[in-house]
Amino acid sequence: MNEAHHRRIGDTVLKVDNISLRFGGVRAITGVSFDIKQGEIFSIIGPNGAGKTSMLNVINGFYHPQEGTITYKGTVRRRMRPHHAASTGIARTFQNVALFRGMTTLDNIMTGRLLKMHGPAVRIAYRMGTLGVLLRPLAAGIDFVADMAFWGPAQQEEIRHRAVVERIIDFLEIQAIRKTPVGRLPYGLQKRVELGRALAMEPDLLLLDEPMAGMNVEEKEDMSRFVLDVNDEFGTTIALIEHDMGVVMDISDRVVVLDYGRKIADGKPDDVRRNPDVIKAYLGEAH
Amino acid sequence: MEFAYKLVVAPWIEILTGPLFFGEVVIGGVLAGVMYSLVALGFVLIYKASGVFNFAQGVMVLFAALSLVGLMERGIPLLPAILLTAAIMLALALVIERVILRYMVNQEQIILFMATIGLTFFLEGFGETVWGSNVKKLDIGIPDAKLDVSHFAISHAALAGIFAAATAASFALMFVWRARAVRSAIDTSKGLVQPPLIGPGTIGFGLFGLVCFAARFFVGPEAAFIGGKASSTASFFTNLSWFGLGAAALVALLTAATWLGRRQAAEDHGADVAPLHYGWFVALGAAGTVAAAAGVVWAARNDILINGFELFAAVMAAVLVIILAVFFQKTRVGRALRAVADDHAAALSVGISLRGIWVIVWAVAGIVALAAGIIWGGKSGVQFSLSLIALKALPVLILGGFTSVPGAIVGGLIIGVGEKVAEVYWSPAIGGAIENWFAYVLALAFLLFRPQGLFGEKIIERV
Repeated sequence: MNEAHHRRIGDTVLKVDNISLRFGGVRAITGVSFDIKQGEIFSIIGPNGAGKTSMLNVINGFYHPQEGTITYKGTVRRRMRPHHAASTGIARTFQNVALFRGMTTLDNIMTGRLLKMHGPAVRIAYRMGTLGVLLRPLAAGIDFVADMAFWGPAQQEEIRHRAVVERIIDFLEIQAIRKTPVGRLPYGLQKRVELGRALAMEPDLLLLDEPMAGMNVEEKEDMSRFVLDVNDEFGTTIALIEHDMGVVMDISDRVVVLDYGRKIADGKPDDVRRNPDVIKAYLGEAH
Repeated sequence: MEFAYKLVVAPWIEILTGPLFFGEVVIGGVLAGVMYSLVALGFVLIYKASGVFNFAQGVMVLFAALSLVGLMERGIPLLPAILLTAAIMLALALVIERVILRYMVNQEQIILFMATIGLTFFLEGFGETVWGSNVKKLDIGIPDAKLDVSHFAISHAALAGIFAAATAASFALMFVWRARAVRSAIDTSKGLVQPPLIGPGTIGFGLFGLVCFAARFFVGPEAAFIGGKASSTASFFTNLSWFGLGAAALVALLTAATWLGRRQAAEDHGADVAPLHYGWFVALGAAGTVAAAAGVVWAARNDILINGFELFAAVMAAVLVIILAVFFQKTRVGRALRAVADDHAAALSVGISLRGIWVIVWAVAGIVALAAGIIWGGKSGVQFSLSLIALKALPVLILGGFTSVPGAIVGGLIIGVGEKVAEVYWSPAIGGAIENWFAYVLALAFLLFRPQGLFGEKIIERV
């Protein structure tokens, strides 16, 4: 971690304040607070079942917490839908790879550009709220006809987005599998394609759910390198989840440790490593 | 022994001795098959986009037809009534999303399937409550009778115009091909090669157009393109069909030759094969259309039975299929639709609104149901049994594959033709009523040997 990197870390992007999440009687998260700063690599770690993925789903809008507030880019966020999270610049990957299995690597990453590719009519419909949802089929139809009538410009736009995607493919070194249906790829590569799709959204905040789960040592090292490179080259703020402490401690600027849905530690990796609560949570207590 | 003779030998003798009648049966089968395809298409759309087998598609056909007839009974003319019904189907899609699908995000497909069964019963009752349950007649102004050819006489100038238009279209589409080449250059990182603007396809079609005009001006309006001087409309159409066939064959040959040459050149240089450009497909399509249209008119002239109504259905289905294919393969919405079909959570994470997509899909399926409703309702009256044609679409889907638009078309044609031919030629052996079960037996055979259907996605299991 060099000086230039530390200088780039800026103001708070996302502030999680006293969040509690319950499923019926099960408390997944209890009163957790932390903040993620612009340009940093932020990790949430903890043993299995600590509420890490639930936390990510809360940030992403998949789950709605019963208590607490989330402040994103300076405004307190109300109840939201996941696809709105995407349009405000939050991208994510999933613990069990969620790719479009029937599509090629290229098509998968291209879907990350969809939000930026909406035709003018659909874009207007999006801004109109509930009425917009009603008018979306109509708007899609108008865009369709417009695309047919002005085929050239539509193609030009497609090519422009394609160029962005090609840069990402080069960056992740997956040129060779560009046209392969992702269902056929080995697990490590699928994870990489999923990262590529998230990157194609050019996110302000990138959420990675156990990006190194189920990988061998070599693949883990590759993935760590990509995470660092993404942060370095694009300045993307990254929040990642892992239950394996090893790799994460090396690449993170800050770490939050959850256990049974509660925050037990927060700080620089070295401090967290020495924290007795953390050691207890991971290794258990001596009897 | 006699049974075996009737089953194995007699039908073939009949076919060989009466080829004209056989042709008639096949044409009738093709046209009926197109109507099956139209229903199957609605299923494929929803299945492709949301992975749900929509049991309610048949009832949506009934509902659309009922609404159309109901509106017309209240004195609204045909065209506005069709537009209004389309609006009703759009509203229906919205309501379905609002009341049912919204609560089904990330649920098992079987649960969505059960929901469509519920929808079936509701729509059935609702439609008949609103519009009444008596059998109604839907008149769309196209007689369900033998085609009257004299209405279809085309002038030479119009013909020349068609070819000129095809030439222009293939020329224009060459620009698109150039754009594609730019993209494939990004693909292979092998540098940019601008393809030529004028290829053999354009030249070929341009020449045909010129010949047409020359014939028109130098020989006169009654000029025969091939063979001797034409004096009657009948022989004009005969010549027209030959001309169309010739054009199609020529374009096909040129296409094949170009493709082979390209592949050879590519192999020599160790490069990828450049894709054929759209111009060829337009040219081929135009030639095929001319050939088919002329063939139909020629057949009608020669007293081969062609049903005008079924022909109209076929043309309508063809146009619908082309529009849908472009919509699903070439647009942003199409890519979003395929994404939603694959994985809900992932689709949400890239910012696709499931609600929006579902409304679009169900609206499109509703419009297709309307098209099917117009055709089937006009053919056999609007009544409850209309919703049962969904059962006929099932074997079509098994044949063609649940995820393939072309599969729905080809499956429909195979079943339509097979049904008619089996009914006419094999009923003496088996005792009639083959038409009712033939499709299902064929589907059963397909399930044994090719469960994914003709065009379905191959099932690959990783173990």
